[in-house]
Amino acid sequence: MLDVKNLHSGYGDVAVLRDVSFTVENEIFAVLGANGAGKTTLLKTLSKLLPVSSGSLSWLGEDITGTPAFDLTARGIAYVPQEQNVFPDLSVAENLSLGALVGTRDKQMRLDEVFDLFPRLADRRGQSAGSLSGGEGQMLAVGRALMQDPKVILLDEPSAGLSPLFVDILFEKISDARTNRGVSIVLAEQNAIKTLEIADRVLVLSLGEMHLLKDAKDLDRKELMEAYHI
Amino acid sequence: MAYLIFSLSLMLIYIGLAQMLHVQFGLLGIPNFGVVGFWGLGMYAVGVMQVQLGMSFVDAMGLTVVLLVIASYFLGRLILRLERQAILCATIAFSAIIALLAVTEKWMTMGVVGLGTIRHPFRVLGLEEILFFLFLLALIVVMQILILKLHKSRLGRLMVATRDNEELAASLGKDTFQVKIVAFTLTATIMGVLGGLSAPLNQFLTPNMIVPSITFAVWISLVLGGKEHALGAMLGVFVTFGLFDILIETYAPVSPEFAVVVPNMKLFFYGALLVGVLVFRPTGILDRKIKPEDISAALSRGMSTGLAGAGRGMQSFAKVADEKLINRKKEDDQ
Repeated sequence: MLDVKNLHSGYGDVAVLRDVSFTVENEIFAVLGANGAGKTTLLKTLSKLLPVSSGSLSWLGEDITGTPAFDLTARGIAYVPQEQNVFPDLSVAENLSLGALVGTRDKQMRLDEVFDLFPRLADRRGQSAGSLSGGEGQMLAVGRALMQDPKVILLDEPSAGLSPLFVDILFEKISDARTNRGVSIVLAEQNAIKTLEIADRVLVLSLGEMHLLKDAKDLDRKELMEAYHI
Repeated sequence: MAYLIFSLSLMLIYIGLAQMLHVQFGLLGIPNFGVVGFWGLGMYAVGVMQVQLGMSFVDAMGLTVVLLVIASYFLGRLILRLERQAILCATIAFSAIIALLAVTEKWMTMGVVGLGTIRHPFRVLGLEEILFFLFLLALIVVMQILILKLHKSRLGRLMVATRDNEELAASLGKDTFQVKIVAFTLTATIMGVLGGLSAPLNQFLTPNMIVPSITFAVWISLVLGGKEHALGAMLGVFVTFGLFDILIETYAPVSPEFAVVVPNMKLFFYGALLVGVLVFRPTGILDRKIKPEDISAALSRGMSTGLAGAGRGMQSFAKVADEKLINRKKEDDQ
């Protein structure tokens, strides 16, 4: 599905990611790592908001290394950044409807599905997104990504700053999207314990390089601790 | 009467400029500080083509539109990827270049001597001004309806999204730069068309007409009225240009010795009003959350209250008049 080969990326002259390679199939693919490991840079590069310095990206067998960000959405790749991931001046319903700029399925049907998944958003549909709590904002951002009818969602640290209750709800919904809608998730996270509960495979980044890549069920805590302490 | 029509026509031009700035800045976040540049380019282009090349108004306007589309498209391509501060500086520079060209390119613009006389597009004896005013009014009404529709459309929401967070908007599946360049080209061209329409209104063009105070007046109007509200531009121009330039400066009964002070007082009130609004209502008189339907409901309520009041006034007037008539009849009978 998504094939990443020898990816190098960064900000201008500052190289952050070095020689990262992996594939994402129909799964929840977790990207773990300490602060500064390169998780956000990886997701930004996959969503083409950062240019690829070298290496290649392909999606469903087609090279997308030079494809602009807006073009990826129509191909089924949705991106949810960690911060500033809603449009504060627009209402909840308007934020969600912007997700339906791509795709052919009926907009109302998609909206109803998202409201079924996140009933809290339905209650606040007319409220401006800027007035939502952190957890509700994350739900809205994930909801907008689901409105795009994606095949894969690139999700950057959705649990950051959320209460444990909201983290539980959000991870349950992420898992639901994978199981019931067949949406693959690339999940960059700090919350390793929670992530390992729902992930199929795990990539651990350390200082911009791949430290390990294996099935979540095979990863033991000692390996993970080592990766975080390098 | 002719001066009033001229002033109202000029006010409509200002409303049009503020409406376009609302789309550029209020919806898309493009800080165009070169409004007078586009307006001046359109005005001089129509003037030069009519006076120097002997073209009709319609032909001159057609060619002017082509020129404006090219100029605003290439300027947009150059500047719209830059930071907002850079866009602000670049558009000021653009308007300065246009003002300078009007002075230096004497073979075309007649320089400081001035260019004229520009003929009216409607050649109906005695009705030129009023027809032109009605044409401008129709144009502004159409633009206002389109802006109201834009606010409710997905394109309008995409514009707001692009203004608030362009990186995030890029992940919605639409080319945000394309949205910006098309919207900028279209609105800057219309600013120029409004300049072209100002040419027959002014009839005689001089470079000192292309002054930054026009840009500032449009900006002040928009900020006062409410930069993010669909009707903010219109209300802002009514409050500033309509209230001060037309009502107070022209029609207020001011003694001759005090008349000299009025223009300066106007600037003072402009400033005081702007400061007051920014302090007490930073989003402008019309906050973006006020729906146009609420405004029309409030207006109709106000009008019905006013009409009811007027009706009651008429009734009591008629009653008094009747009583006086009866008394007079009684006096006559006696």
